[in-house]
Amino acid sequence: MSPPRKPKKPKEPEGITKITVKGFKSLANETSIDIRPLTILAGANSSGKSSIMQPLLLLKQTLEVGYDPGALLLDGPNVRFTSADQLLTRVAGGAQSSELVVGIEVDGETAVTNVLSPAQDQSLALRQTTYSGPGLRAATFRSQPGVPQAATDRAGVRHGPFLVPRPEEGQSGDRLLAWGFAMLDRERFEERIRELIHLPGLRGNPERAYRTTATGPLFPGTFEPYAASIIKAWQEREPALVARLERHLGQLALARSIRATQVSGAQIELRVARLPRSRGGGPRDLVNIADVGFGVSQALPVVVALLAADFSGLVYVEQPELHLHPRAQVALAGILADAAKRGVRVVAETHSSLLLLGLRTLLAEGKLDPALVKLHWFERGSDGVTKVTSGDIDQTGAWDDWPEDFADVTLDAQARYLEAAEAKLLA
Amino acid sequence: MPRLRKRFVIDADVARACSLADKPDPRPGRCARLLEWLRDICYRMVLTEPLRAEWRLHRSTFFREWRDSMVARKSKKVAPTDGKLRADLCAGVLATALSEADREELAKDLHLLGAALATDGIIVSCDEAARKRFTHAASRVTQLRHIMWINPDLMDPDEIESWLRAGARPRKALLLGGGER
Repeated sequence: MSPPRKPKKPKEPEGITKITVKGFKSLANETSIDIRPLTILAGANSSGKSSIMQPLLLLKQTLEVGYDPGALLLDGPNVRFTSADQLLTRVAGGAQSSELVVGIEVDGETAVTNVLSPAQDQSLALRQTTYSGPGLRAATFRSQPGVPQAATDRAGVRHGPFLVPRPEEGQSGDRLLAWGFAMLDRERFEERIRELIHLPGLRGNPERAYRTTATGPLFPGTFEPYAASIIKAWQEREPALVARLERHLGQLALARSIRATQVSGAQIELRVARLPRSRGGGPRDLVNIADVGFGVSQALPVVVALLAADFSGLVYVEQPELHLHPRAQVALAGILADAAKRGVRVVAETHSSLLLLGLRTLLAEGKLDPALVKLHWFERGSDGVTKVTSGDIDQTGAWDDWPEDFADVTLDAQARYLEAAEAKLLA
Repeated sequence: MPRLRKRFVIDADVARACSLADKPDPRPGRCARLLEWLRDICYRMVLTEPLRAEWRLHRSTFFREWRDSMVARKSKKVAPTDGKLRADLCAGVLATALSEADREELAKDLHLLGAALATDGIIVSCDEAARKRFTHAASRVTQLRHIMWINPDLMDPDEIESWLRAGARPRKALLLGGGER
């Protein structure tokens, strides 16, 4: 007789674990990326890094707007388009893509895939939503059902950005189960999408005072406006988080202390230590954040987001290295790794070879588990279509198919400089 | 203005050894560490055409970045020199060859001696065979006896660091004329 099996621990929620896109800008072919606790998107400008995430942001802003904007809100706080033809793939010399496919997998097991096509009013119409997962979850709902293509095809009605079964679908047997699963899964997908924290590549100028905001757990729109109020709330209720925030700002050599002060009912002022390191002045020698370098105001929301994020939520940061000194870019790797180790899920889109080198070093030093990290390298072929090479980085910080790009650019630039400078020195 | 410090001739095999430092490895390479000390303690690297030609052959990211960091500091860390070995010294050294192959090897590395004699007489190299050939040559060519040969692969890194921090003064054990190690 085999020994009694230990009861399995309930699976921890994992949040969004895969994104699939087809027909969006340069992503002409179906392209999927796995999301790990620390997911790096790297590659040249306009190689499609943002494009893989923008459909998710479109879903987020669609769910968060206070009215029904149709299947997708094209012009919102996270992504700004004014018509569908701006986002649908148009390969060089070819016709515009006739459909946009957006798929999201959550918790590593359940997925939803939307198929949209351009409507006459230049918006996008939702044609089909497919739910897939274990058990009887597989079902496809069509807005204009023609001849069913599979036994699981159903007529659907739009609910926010997804199609769900028409009420009359849930009558009995398997159809009732499929109806129930679809309704439950839709809620689950919506929850995961709403949890997404977005830090865009342009994070605005530092303000003398920031508007008072809510402090979570959800952060509609982009995240930067919430940082000041969150810090204020931590000062009152979570001093350990303020200490951790200050430690991270110190690691980035930006500030060793920070203080949020309510200056009116609607405004909060952020003040930081005048000197980033202890060279006199003391931690109470504070100045307004608008009076220090841009690096502080650009990195602060990133660090606050990493500390404020829920475990199942996803923090998507475009250019986390913005305005940071090379040394701080290396240190930033440690802060991202620290968040991933705590269970926060981060997608960082970066051009920083130093940030990548910092991560590889942490892996080689054994300070970061390779299983937590995924690197997706984006490049565009001569036809303009994005190709994504995905890989795992091993415990030595090496990657099977390491992108030559960064290293080559550095080496070539250095070789050119040394050639010229040393020749002059010897002349 | 900081005082200009001693000038070091860096053999190309040090550049080759530094390619280990390109890979994330918990063991910092001995050559890479020595180069970092040279930079941090404000020593200078000798720059000659033959050295430059040999360095070019090695695409070590670390070595190239190290050179970049030395060269980019307004020449305070670079000592350009012609570094040609006098004809009589060349002939003297080559005359110590034990075979034709030995002579070819000596000829290949003569530029290191030229660069060292034109500067502060310090060569950093992991090439033990070359050191032995030149130690033998130094028994006949007295000018070579004051050249110091630093092999980061064989020396204790702590000893190298403390020697560098103390001013890289001549030490008998490091001299080509100091007897066999």
